[in-house]
Amino acid sequence: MSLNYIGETLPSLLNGLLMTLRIFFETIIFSLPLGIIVGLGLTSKLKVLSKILTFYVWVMRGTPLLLQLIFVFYGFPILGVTFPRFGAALLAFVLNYAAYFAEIFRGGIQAIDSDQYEAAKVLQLTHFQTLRKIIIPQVIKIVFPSIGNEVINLFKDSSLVYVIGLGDLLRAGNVAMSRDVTLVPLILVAIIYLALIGICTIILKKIENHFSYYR
Amino acid sequence: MLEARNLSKSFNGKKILDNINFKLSDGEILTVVGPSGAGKTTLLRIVAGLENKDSGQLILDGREYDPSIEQKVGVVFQDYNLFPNLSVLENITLAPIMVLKQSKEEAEANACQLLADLDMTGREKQYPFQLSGGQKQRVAIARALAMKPEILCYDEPTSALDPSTRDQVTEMILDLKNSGYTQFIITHDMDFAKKVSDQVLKIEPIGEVK
Repeated sequence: MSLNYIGETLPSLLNGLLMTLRIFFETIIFSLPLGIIVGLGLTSKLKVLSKILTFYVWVMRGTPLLLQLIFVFYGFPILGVTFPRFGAALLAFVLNYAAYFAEIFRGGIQAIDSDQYEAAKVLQLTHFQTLRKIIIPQVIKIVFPSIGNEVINLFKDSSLVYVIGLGDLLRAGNVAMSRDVTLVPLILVAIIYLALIGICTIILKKIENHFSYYR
Repeated sequence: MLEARNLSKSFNGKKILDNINFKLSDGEILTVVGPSGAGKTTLLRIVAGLENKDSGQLILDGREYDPSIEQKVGVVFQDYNLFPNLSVLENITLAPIMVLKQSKEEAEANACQLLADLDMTGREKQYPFQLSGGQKQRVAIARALAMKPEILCYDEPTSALDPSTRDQVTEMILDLKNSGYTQFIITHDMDFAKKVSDQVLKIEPIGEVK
């Protein structure tokens, strides 16, 4: 494994890493709020709403993310809707991850004792105020470890975008490996994933500790 | 004055409360006693608007009172039901700020005064998990009083406390009475009821008033 070769390969890998990071961050930015909203919807007393959302979660969790990616990019154009590659990837990832997040939030919301709602009710807080100030902050603390798990999964799942022709970190490594007939690029890719997920883990732990100010 | 006329309530066809009547004058203390399962808590929940009555009337200061429309009652729950994610001060000021539209400064000044009256100065920044049962109860009382209720209701205020704290609660409730508060107390603790009550309402499991 010559240092020279590593120096030559690294730029293309880092270029791929940019795509990985874009998918990662943009998916989180959109899927987390969507997940909270869907999670609230899943616990709604409006039966129609919760049924529809349960169906959505079932479809998203019941089919492979890879299939969903292919469906959005190659399947939708047949139905007359065309997305650019990145847009298609983002849409599939956001819809998929929002479903997982929603299920986690649903569990968290249902873990809050009805006592909390009653205390808020006699204090005349509206339902929305109760959610915003009392329920959601407590839910976030409860669900944070599970959300962190999904976030780490997302980082690795982003490698699936190769299937619709986007050049992410893994694809860049794969290309270099085929071209130069060496395992070095794959090892570098693995090291980059490990390092970034290591950083991610530390950050998640820090945030988790931040919530320990109450029990 | 709060008056109940022929309040009745059933759950799934089983009568829990049958024709309950009482009159609670301003500044007085009414305790509701009876064995568990007698419907004491249900009565409190109806007065607090957490449960609907099947029939009968609640009358507050001469007018029919519907707690689901205008809340005039503060509640100190058996387990206090403080908000664990909020500090003591935030627990007390949240509703005055959001519902009564008090400024943060005004709400905090009121809260600090209430805490001082309840001997809880210095705990403003603590969180509920750092407090003992008796201290949580004081915070729950301050939180209820901050909404300026006409009547303060307690569900089993002595049940979760050890005997020495129980005496302090008795004193505190009598202090609040001296400050002019009207109090409605659910308890199964007869000794405690005798010490604080102006009036005792006994209810029995079948729902019959004796």
